[in-house]
Amino acid sequence: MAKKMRITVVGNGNAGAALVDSLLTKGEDGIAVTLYGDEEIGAYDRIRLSEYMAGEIGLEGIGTRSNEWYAENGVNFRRGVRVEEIDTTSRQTKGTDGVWVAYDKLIFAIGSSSSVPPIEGRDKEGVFVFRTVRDVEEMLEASPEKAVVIGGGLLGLEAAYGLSTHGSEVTVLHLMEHLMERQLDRTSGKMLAREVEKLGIKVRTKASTEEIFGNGKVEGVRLETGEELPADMVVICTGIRPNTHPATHTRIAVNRGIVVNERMETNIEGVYAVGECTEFDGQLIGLVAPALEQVRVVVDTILGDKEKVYRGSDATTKLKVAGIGLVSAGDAYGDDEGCDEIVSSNPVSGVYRKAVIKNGKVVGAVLLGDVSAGAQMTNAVKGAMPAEEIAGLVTGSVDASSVPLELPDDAQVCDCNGVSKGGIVATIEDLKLKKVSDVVAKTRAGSSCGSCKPLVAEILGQTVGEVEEEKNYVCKCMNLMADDVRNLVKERKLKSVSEVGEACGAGKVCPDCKPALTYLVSSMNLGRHKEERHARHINDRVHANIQNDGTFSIVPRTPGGVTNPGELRRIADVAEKYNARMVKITGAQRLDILGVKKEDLPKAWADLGMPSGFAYTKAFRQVKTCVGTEFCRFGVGDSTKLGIEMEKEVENLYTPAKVKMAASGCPRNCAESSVKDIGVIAVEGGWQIYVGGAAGMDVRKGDVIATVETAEEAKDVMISFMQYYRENGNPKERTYDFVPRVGLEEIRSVILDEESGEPERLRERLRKEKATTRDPWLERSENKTKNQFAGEVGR
Amino acid sequence: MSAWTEVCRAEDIPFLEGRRVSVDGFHVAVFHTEEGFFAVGDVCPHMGGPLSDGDVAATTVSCPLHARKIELKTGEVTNDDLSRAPIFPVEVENGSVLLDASFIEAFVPACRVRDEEVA
Ligand code: SRM
Ligand SMILES: Cc1cc2nc3c(=O)[nH]c(=O)nc-3n(C[C@H](O)[C@H](O)[C@H](O)COP(=O)(O)OP(=O)(O)OC[C@H]3O[C@@H](n4cnc5c(N)ncnc54)[C@H](O)[C@@H]3O)c2cc1C
Ligand code: SF4
Ligand code: FES
Repeated sequence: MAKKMRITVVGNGNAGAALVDSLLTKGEDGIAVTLYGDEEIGAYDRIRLSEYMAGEIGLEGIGTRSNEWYAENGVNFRRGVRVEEIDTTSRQTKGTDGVWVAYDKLIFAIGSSSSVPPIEGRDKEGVFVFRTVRDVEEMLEASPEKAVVIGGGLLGLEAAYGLSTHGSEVTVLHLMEHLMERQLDRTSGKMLAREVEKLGIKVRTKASTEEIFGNGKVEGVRLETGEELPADMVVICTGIRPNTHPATHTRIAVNRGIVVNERMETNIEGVYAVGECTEFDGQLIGLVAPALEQVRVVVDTILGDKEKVYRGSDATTKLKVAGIGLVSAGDAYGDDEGCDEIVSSNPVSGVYRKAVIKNGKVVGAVLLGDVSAGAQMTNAVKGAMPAEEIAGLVTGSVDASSVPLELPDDAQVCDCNGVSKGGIVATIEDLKLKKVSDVVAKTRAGSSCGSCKPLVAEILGQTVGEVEEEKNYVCKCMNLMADDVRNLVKERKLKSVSEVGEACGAGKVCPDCKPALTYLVSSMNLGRHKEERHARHINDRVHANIQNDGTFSIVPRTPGGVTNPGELRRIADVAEKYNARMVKITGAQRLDILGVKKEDLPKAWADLGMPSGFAYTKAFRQVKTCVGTEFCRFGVGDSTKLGIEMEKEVENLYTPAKVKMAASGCPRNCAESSVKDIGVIAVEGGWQIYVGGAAGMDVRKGDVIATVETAEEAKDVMISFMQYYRENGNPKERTYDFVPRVGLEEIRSVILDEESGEPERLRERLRKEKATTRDPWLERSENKTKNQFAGEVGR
Repeated sequence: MSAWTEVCRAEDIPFLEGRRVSVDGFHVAVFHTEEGFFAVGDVCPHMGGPLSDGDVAATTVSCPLHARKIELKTGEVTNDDLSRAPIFPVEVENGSVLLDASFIEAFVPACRVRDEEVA
């Protein structure tokens, strides 16, 4: 058997991980890979750290790899080991584990580090950089009240956004005149600042930090002007510096980065470098796309294919801050000789579109506020297309959806993961894919920074004709969105699901959308709709949760999780009398009697004499509470009382998807308020209200929507939010999707603006609908349909 | 040979809903649709869910457990690769629902599962 080529990869970041993938696929059995990574965890996608920080995805979302993965793939992975020494003569590397490992080829992929300018006080406790999972975790752990982010580039803004989603008050200090000056021109940079401020983040430009002060720990920053900003955290995002150690003290040529040629070879035979640690033609890189381009080149070089060379790559950037659409590609300024620009700017609506033209060709693009033409514009920059082709898109006279994209098969669509159009088309055809999310999952195109997703959708459309819509259609048969149905119900004053069916066909050929239609019709009519039980799921026809064996479960309402001996006794009796399979304390502080026959439900409810807990449907569920000031030595607010009152205010109401709430008596948060759809936490002097949290299929920490002084105000905000969600949420859309979709600021602007009267109107509508509801378990004595609870009918 | 039996009254089954009936010890789901009454073994081909508790539109029922859709005219599962559900001819005469259960024995494997559990 031929001897395997021993390849050592130093660095397990984006480039290192891609290298390993590519070597394993292309090198097949002919190679043996050793991989060093000095971070404590397996490879992850650094670009997605921002989303991780903002709580939008979990660790699994950024793709950390397990030890098993490396073992299964035969990679000698040295986790947490840093290479300290290299001997290029005997061809060996030594790590912090003290072991020398021999190589035939050595590839540096050691990336870069955050560069921290010599600001006085930068080593105080509470000063952070934003580069690794560890940084993010430490920042979140520190959970600052007031944070200052130094640097208003991509990274700084993403850090600021991440911190603000966790309730911190954040100020971004930027030295230059406008934000993201490398990717944006002056006008768009200024407009961006306004968009960022709408998210509750303060922006200060032309702000030079003189000192970070504090006694050992950060207490604030002092600007050059002498002004002091209090802060308990400072995050420095002023740039990056290539890592060069341990190449520095060897014969390997190092300038600002490790110097490489167009084949990613260093001056030493058998030693290569890729990614942010490299310097090519005097240029450093700071994005994934060029790093991955280099990876493709180096793998080919090592495996003997000398065709591919690296010539530098263009930068396309997307800001990953929810609610802000921003695309920048190529030259944003057009200051060079012979450059022209086409610009359309509307500072009022916050929309800015610009194309930079050189010699009649598109060389740069900026889109802010409206990124619908993102795919076309970045494509135009990449292909240096004639200006005429995109002029209409910039001025807005042409709609992006009407401009088909014509890309050659080898055009690279996803820069982050190096996926070509041809590759995507082949995968779509081979696997007969119809949904964008499936294409993303199978090709990885669009899975990292997401800027090419519109393009992926476009290609899918061109390939299969019709894209299986993932727009949240309420009725997939008729392609109707929730708002289509809402409009129809409103315009034609429809009162029942059947009437909706007559009007638009929804719910007529297939039953799937009927429960959602029921929700829309009933909530649009504030509960004064015509109830049709056939349009509800069995759970809502018999007000209990169907189980795998066809029996049902009963969860009575115990507001705030508080019950009493009498109720407990009756629960015990019912469980015995109707042969329940189990009695269980649920995860939401309630009792569940499981395994009751349908025909026994009415009798069991009568025996219980308690109202329905709605545990079986898309409705308000419960308010979980803690014992609060009444009992707890730490309590600062009567959370039990607030929870119970709240539960009474909203019980019996249906919602687009289930709504869970919690009230905690102090920031120890025993009721887990921050992972509920609506949660409230008593703090010194008031109540902090969270929305959009969950700890189910998705774990999302809620956003602090407001902090108010009294329990009454807290209830008002909670109710306004609930009704806003009831009126605008898509059926089946939990608040953890709803809040990011609509945007926290947008929601705030409606539900907190008491002066406008709208919050009060929302609450009025909720109360009006609430007045039409009643405990559905009362149907035990007045059935709504014939044989409603019959186990079977007939002779 | 046919064996028409009265299983219930038409008004026993609300419009666009289903109810369970028993025929010779087997569970059958009877549905009341726009196109009349249909009967299918009350055991979902997927994992045995009670189709009589399903959601109905046109001549389709969607199983309450995992939403497999069954075309009532043919018993076919339209959204999964599963074997058909057994269907039975139905007639309505003077308000009573009659079912031809002559082939019910042939579906013993499908229908008896539930029957034994209940017994
Ligand atoms: C009974 C209970 C588990 C328990 O024994 O503790 C339960 C049981 C079920 N949960 Fe749950 N969930 C229960 C608390 C939770 C919790 C914890 C909580 O509420 O504090 C969560 C995570 C919190 C959250 O949702 O944010 C939870 C997240 C889910 C999810 C995931 C929802 C999501 O969007 O991420 C589902 C699936 C769904 O809704 O589509 C689900 C669905 C279900 C269903 C209803 C599935 C179904 O439709 O049949 C289960 C019914 C079992 C049965 O046969 O009766 N259950 N479920 C809990 C009832 C609470 C109650 O008193 O009302
Ligand atoms: C928060 C954030 C958001 C970003 N967003 C984007 C974006 O939207 N688009 C984009 O294109 N780019 C983005 N970037 C930049 C992108 O992450 C980098 O370009 C990319 O990670 C570079 O890959 P790399 O492998 O060269 O370096 P890295 O990913 O930094 O990997 C280098 C690895 O080597 C390890 N290492 C260093 N020295 C040694 C040693 N001696 N021994 C062992 N291991 C060592 C390091 O710890 C590190 O794990 C973002 C970066 C951050 C931090
Ligand atoms: S949240 Fe606070 S007040 Fe409530 S029980 Fe926990 S520690 Fe006590
Ligand atoms: S049992 Fe019917 S769909 Fe699963």
